Amino acid sequence: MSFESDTDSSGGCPHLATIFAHDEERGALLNKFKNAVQWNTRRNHCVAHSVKRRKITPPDCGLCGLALSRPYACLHCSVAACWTGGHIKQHLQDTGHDFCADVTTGYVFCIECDDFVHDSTFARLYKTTIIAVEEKATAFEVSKRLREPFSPWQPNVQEQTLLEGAVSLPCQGRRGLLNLGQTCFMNVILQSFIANPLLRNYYLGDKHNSRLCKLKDCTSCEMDKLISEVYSENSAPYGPIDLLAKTWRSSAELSGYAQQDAHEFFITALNNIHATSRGSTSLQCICIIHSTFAGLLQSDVKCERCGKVAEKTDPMLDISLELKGEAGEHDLTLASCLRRYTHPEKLGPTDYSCEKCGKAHASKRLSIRKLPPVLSFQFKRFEHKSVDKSAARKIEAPVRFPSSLNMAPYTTLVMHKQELFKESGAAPPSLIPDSALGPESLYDYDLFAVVCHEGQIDNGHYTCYARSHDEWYRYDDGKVAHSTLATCLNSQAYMCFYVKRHLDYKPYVTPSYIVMREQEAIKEKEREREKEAARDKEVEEELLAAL
Amino acid sequence: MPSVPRDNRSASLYAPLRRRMIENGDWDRIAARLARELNEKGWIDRFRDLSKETARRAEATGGVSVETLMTELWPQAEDEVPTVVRQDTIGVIRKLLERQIEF
Repeated sequence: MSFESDTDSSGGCPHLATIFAHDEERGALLNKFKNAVQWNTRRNHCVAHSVKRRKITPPDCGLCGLALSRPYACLHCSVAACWTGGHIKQHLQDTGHDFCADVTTGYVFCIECDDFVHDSTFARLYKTTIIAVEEKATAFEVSKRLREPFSPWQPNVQEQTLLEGAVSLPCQGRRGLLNLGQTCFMNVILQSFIANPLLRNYYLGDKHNSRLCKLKDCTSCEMDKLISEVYSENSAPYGPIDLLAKTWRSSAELSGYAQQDAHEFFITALNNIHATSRGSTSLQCICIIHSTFAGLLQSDVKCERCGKVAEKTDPMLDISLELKGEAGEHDLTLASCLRRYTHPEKLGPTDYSCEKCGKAHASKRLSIRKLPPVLSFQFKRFEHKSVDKSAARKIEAPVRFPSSLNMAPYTTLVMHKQELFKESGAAPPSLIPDSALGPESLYDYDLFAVVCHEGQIDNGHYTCYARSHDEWYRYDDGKVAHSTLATCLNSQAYMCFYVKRHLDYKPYVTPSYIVMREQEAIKEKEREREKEAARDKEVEEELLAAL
Repeated sequence: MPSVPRDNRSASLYAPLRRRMIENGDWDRIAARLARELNEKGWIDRFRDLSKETARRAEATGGVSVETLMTELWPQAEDEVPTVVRQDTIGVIRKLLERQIEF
């Protein structure tokens, strides 16, 4: 979201431009829009979580009187109507009012243009209104405090001056990566990093400046250089030679010109960037890699005899999903793989020892305790039959994956609540059975990159698809081509990357390393003062002795 | 476009039933469930892509309005709803109504 409001140039609705030219009319229009969207978001929240079956009166269509399930609100008066049957259009024609909005999507319709019109002011107001309502409705479990409210970035005076003096460069933000000798496995992962909004913003925001960094063999610096190269005027393919060299130096198993596994490179790269990033620690790290990719996986082992459940959480950077053994390996979807992943698994009596009963039958169930902002999935296509890699097989079965994914059914808290409902016999009212677990949108993820593999295990080629805003592009080493969502979704995916639609921030707390740094600085000042005082005392004593 | 109830009794029941379903939140819950099932079957992405690419192609000849696009694609969209999803949703609605009215 840019902080400048763009005045609608050619291509925008001229009737909207006329109204926007007058501050009072503009304000009234935006206010009506905001109220309509606010009302709808609040209503959705009530409806989804009304266990008490409280009745929420819907508005009636101003023309046909039916209760509205999908209201279109006039932006000039208090009338709402159905879209079907042309009811809202009739109202606009009868009254001479120009605009109405679909409260569900925020899309604005102009009767003069006889079409829906796009305007970034409305789009932005829609998003900020929804976020503001949802922030107030979700509290953190333990602290019971609310989320840090979102406020759009406004440049301060210094920044404003800098921006005014800055030179704008034309740049697409898309560059092919040269194949340096069977390095397509590296190129596809790098493209997924470039398309990753959190990684991209971190480096574009100068959080790791490669010109100031003093570390030797710093992978984070290579990422900084890569992002700078991609976001430049140069759109010719780029060869990430230094990054390749550093990878060879740090990971012997990835060196050499043989074809490597993209997923292996992915994990290695994440670990290397983590190790060379500021703020990285071995436990509960908040470096850019862990802030972006780290989630928590919970495993619940339930003793069949006494019912006691042993909970254990493990950190994870991605999720690897099994493909083999699925019934017929046909009609595989990401959702079916995730259901299988979180399905209870029977453990034999020798596998588990319950605290209370000793060796007993048990069932183990995986679930996601904490969702990371970026979710990475790997489909385990490469099956190694033995230690000897050459006797491996590749599972070619396509897996269908969506462009939007809701992770609620696979999270620990939602799964536990749904279990309770099942036991009580009642059907869970909605996807999220408890309002304390947050609005549905908190679990929504959008696809932004797909890594594909064609060919055999040892003789194949990696390509990838990545999304730039709403357009999809296919990256084949140095070649970049405009593509479509359908082409991407029909490809045979090896890895998929999803990003959370809404980031939920904890109330701000100064990071521990900054607190420590400040405490150190205070201690240092104290020591200096004591040294000074001691020196002064010495001089004084010498003077007295001399007298 | 949604079908109009046929006989007189159905017609007189439609409005109050619809109102009650919306008030209770049943309408929204069933609609959300339908959307989830259609998403898993790939239907939503298929028509997201189809409408976008159709609109893109139409840019060359002056563009197409949202209404025209919807009129053009609606029959295909309705037709491609997977049978199992259609039956499932009808089943859920039927179960809900059976508890409320005498057939």
